[in-house]
Amino acid sequence: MEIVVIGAGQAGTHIAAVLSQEGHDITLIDVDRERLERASERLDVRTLCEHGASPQVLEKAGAARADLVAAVTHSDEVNLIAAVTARQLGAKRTAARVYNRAYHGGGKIEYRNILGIDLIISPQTLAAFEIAKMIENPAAVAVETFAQGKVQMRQMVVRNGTPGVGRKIRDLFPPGRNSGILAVSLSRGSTISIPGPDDVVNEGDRVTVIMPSGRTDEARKLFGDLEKGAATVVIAGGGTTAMMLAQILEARDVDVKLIEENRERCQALSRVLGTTHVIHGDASRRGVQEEERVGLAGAFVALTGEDELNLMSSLQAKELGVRRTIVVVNRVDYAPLVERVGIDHAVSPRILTGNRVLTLVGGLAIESVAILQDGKAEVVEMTAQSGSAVVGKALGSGIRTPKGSILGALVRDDEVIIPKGGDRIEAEDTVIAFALSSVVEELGALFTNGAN
Amino acid sequence: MNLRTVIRLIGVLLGFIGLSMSFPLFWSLYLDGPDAGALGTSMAVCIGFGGVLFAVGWGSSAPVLRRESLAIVGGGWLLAAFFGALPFYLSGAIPSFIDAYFESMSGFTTTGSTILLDIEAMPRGLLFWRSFTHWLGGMGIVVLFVAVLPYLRAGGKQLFQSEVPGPAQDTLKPRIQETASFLWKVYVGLSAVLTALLYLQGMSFYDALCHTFGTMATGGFSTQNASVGAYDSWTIDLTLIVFMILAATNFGLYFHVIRGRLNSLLRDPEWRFFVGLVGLCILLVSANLYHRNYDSVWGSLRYGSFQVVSIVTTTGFGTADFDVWPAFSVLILVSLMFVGGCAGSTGGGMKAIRFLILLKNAAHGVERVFRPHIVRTMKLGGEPVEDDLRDAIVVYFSLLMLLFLFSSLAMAAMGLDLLTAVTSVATTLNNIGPGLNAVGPIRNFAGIPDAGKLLLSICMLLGRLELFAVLVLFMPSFWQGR
Repeated sequence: MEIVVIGAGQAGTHIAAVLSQEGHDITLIDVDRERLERASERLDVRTLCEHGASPQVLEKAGAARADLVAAVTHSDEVNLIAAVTARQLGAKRTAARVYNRAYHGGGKIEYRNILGIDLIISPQTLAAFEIAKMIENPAAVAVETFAQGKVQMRQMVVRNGTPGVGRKIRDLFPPGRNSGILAVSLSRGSTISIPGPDDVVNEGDRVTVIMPSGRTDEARKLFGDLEKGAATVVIAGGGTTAMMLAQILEARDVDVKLIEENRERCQALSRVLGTTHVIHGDASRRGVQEEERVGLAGAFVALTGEDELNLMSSLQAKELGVRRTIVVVNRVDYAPLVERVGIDHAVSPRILTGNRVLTLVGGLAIESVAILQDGKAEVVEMTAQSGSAVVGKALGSGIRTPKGSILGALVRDDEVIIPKGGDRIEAEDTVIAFALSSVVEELGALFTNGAN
Repeated sequence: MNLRTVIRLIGVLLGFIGLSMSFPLFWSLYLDGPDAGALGTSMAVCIGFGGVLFAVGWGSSAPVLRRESLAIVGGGWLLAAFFGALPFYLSGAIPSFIDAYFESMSGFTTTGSTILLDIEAMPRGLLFWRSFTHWLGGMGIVVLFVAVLPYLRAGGKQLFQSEVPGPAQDTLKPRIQETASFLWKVYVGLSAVLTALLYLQGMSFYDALCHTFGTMATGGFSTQNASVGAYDSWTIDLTLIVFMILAATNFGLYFHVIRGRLNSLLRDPEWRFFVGLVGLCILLVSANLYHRNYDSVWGSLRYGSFQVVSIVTTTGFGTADFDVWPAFSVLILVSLMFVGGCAGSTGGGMKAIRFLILLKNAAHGVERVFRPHIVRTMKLGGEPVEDDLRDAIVVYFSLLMLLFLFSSLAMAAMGLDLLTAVTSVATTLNNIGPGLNAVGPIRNFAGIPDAGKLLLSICMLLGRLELFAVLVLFMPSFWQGR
């Protein structure tokens, strides 16, 4: 596929890196020559040092034939105009990163429909929802829901002494429809694979299962993923992400304390927020953390604009005894370091943005995607289009899914079916599947009507 | 300050008062009463004097700004009560002019305190005028003329805000004139319904009309010596309870109700607080009265609820003598005097919303002791309350308490006993009507010294115009310069 990425910042570079690994043809546009050079040193991409919203530049970059144009510069307006222009030129799909909430639409106005942009991404919203998910599912590595919440994918770490340790996949998840739970991947170290029935689960492995949302408790018990979501959360920093996170948590009856240094910002936040306690103070100070009893909280989330400050205040909170710490890192290369020094989760809004854009790649049948293990594998939700290769065929004999992929669940007329050999796929079925990144496109093609 | 504009508009205001005397004059002529001459003369004097003021101010085209509007409202009300007293005085029905002024002020400010010993002996025309002043003052004479006069424009907004009770209101419609006329239409509509209901329950048309004026304006003047108690009908009691509450509700809410959003009433935080408080107090008082004053639950509820609603809405009708009730009930009633109705209603008192904000402010103040760094925005129904508004309410409350204290001191200095001194001020400052002891529900204000009557008249005006429009008139700097 041909893909144009506008903006060679961290999100843009991440998108370009993942997609070029998957074998797509990438053109990267940015006005900053140095950034482009840094990117092209490491990536096999074409670069253009020009203004990405200009029609001439977009035409030169091949936006007219492109399968996807993603605008992720630091400017909302440039992104919006670039995406609209690319669409007019003939790009199949467009995405724009937009920070300012004023451009997110609302009420009757969906900017997406008016402007013809397929995806308007708000990094703050993505980060806020991601963090809320982490707070609610403390032990899971990744959780994603599909088919309007009917199907859940859950990646869990196998804990010491839990019922699942040392047992075969066959025994844990006996085949057949009644079990309802399907293990789609097993990661050990940095390898990820689809487990066979005789594979044994060891302590420290990561198991990904796909199941109907009602049956999550069974799977969680097997690997000790029993911890409830935090009832009290302290948020350090009062930016847009913090505000949205507080709003999400408020709606889930979580007791939220938000510490912000700027008094005026505190006042603005206290007007918008309901039950959240807005505290004026410096969240990195031990005195402030002690006074606000951070040590007793279930989770501490550091969301200030400075990575170093986020890290230090989280370590401080950990020292005081907080159960879980989540840090937002703006510099992508910090993320692994942060987790190494004892912070539970590092969230990078730029990576999240990139991953969201990546969901647009992979053919028209694919609707939403969860990215696993730094993009090595994905869980995708697809609709079987009538006339596509899989419709009417039976699993096992009729359909040959690419090696490195497995179908996890079918949703037909609101009913969730865990597929087994012999089941037939009908048109308009929703299919949730696991696939290594290298075969996602091939898998998507099976479900897409070639005439489209 | 542009005095000529002020004088011209006060002239118009007096013209309105004079014209409105034609209603009692009609009653008087119809019944061939002895007061027709006095009413006719007063009407002529009032319109004539208004005309003179209008002529003096003629040609002034200066706009009505904040100072002008305060002067018009404050000065206009003082004069309105003066001319409103003329019929009582000229007819000889109330021989002392100070008494007549007290009665007239009590009418316009919808207080309902009276100096009359035998109400039923008054000529019908005068009695009608007495109740009619309630009705004019309830929704506001200035609001009425903002509704009617087309040429006030932005000045009308200032005038409107100076007279409508409660913290600044959202204007319902883009033009203040339309807002004012909407409020008056609702007022007239509700009044018509109530008159019909009372008439159907056996009141004469005259009594039904006068009691409607007393109820819709939350005034409290009755045509009977025994007030509403004279009818001894539980259906009339119930009808009046409902309409007193309707009159003490923010009239702005009816705008939404009429547009089909009935739940905007139930969702309004002030209204919910108000109705909840009334419900709670009815239960407490009725429980307190049961077995002590009334043998049946039904009787305790009937008289308890009527008195509670009558006091909290600042109407002041009576069906029972609460002066002989147990101290717990009496104290609840006295406390409710200060709460009053909702903002934007015809009720007096401090207004439920101010009380609610003061309570919240106090709660936040206590919290700040143990959480010094918390930043909290006060909210009502999810909407933030601006700091300016909160501060203004704290100032309002402190002023009200100071005025209450000093006026009570002055009344005591005139030789009144403690209960009478304190409750006469509380009841007039909050526009209710009856107090306790010498000014209790079955007694009246005739025995108060003249100086006391004047002071209480000023208290009534302070209460009706919510302090500021009256207090500024006594500030030299208000009159000086620009």
